Amino acid sequence: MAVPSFAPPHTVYAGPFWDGVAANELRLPRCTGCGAFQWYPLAGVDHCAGATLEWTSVRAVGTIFTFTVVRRPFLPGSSKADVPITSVLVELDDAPSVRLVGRLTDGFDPVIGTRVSGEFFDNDDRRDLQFTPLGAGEKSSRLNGGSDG
Amino acid sequence: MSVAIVGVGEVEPAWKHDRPVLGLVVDAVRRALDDAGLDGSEVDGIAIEGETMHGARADEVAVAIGARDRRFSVQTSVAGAGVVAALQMAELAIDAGLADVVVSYYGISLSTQVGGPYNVHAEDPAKAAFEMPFGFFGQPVYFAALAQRYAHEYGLTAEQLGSVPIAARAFARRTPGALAQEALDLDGYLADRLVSDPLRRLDCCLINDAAAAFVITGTERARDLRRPPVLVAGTGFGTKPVTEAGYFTQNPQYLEMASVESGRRAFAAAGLTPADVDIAEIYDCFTMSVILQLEDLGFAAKGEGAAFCAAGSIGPGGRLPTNTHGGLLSQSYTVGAGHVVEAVRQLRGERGDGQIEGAEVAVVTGLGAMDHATALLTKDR
Repeated sequence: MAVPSFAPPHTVYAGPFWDGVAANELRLPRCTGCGAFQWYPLAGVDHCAGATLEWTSVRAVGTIFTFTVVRRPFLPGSSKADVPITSVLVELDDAPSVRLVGRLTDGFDPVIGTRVSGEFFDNDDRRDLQFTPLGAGEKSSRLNGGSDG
Repeated sequence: MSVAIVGVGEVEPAWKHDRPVLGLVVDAVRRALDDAGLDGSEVDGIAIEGETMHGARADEVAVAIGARDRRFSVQTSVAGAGVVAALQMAELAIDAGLADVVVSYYGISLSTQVGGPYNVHAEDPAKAAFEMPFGFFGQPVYFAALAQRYAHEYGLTAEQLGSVPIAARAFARRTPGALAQEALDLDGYLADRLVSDPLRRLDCCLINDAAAAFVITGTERARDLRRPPVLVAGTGFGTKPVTEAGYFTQNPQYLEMASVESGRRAFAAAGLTPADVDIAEIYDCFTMSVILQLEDLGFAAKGEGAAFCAAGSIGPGGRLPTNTHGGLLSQSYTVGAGHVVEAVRQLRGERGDGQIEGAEVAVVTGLGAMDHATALLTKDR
């Protein structure tokens, strides 16, 4: 398994989300008017007229809605060494209208309906986010030979 | 039945054409005009897809064919949805008296496009920010995630998925010039390598260079032209209330395409039902898109589309022969324009070995993420 080498762009658009990750927080844009999350945000557009979007911290906890194990390197500049990657869509407890794209931590089988929790980690020179099944135990113990139980 | 398709044309699909898209498109348009027995000077309208076609501008095509008075000119929607919705634009224009002869076309050169077919998604700021860093990138990945959710809700076997490309390949083998002609059976499908679980390479459309065109005019005039007219009995357009960036992840009705809306509108406009349809030309960028659209259009109940395909319904001899030229999966990636061309040829009875006996009503669909268009075409009875 692999960790994607594709780094998010340093743009005004991508910045607030990845600034959150750098601070070990999952932040999503929420309308100060109606309280709805706007995902994906529309650049320069507020959700409700006269309101603003606030990047709000939510718990990185949710349920796997769907997934796929990507076996071919589609990402620009990627190679066979960069796959497989298990991408997941996660329905977040704190933002049920959002399906967050994420990556499942290496070594776990993707199953729809599995409860997962986000963990922040160092990926080269940036902070990154991956999702691990809740109650699955520490990743390190699995990689050291822990069973699936 | 106010308008009819009176001419179709295409360049032979190829893995790589040496000419730019403009040259391919102009050749296809000239062939379509010749098929209709019309001169380029008579063209006074152009209706084309509006987002993904590069290198074949309406002004350049119009000048190349000698159109002198391009008094109606429109670009609409995305990819296959735009290609089929162009028929609706032509219908509107002719009915409103804004044009008499409308040309529609699509051309693509994936062999020369930097980043290939994935580039259109790589350029999306939302995907670069929120999807690609997690490995979620590329059309096969999007449709694989759909397939996994479908499998979870309704069940989905490799045999069911495989029935779609197997049917397409059987039709491609009856279609001169189709790019993928090698015989394909279930063993061959199962032996194919996984690209993004559960999709194999054979679940994905071809990647090639192509151009196709069609000519539309009023039905009365159409009856005096060279070929039997194919009537545009009804068109429909629809969208899901999500952005293109968010379609493959945030669509609230995740396993529904806007074929629900466009299909309902097209059938209503035509006064037809799915039971009236003899052949289906369904936008088949991936096997999953065929399964979902057949459900959305009412040919199978929700969750039963995969079983419908696996029962032999869509192949030769089935109750709904589908993509009778091999489609995007086996004939050519012509982004829906080839589907229109094929429906016209079938309804004219010109398809030789590939002719479906008794084909009088065809449904043609085009998908472009959140957008979808459906057209019902009929023989002039």
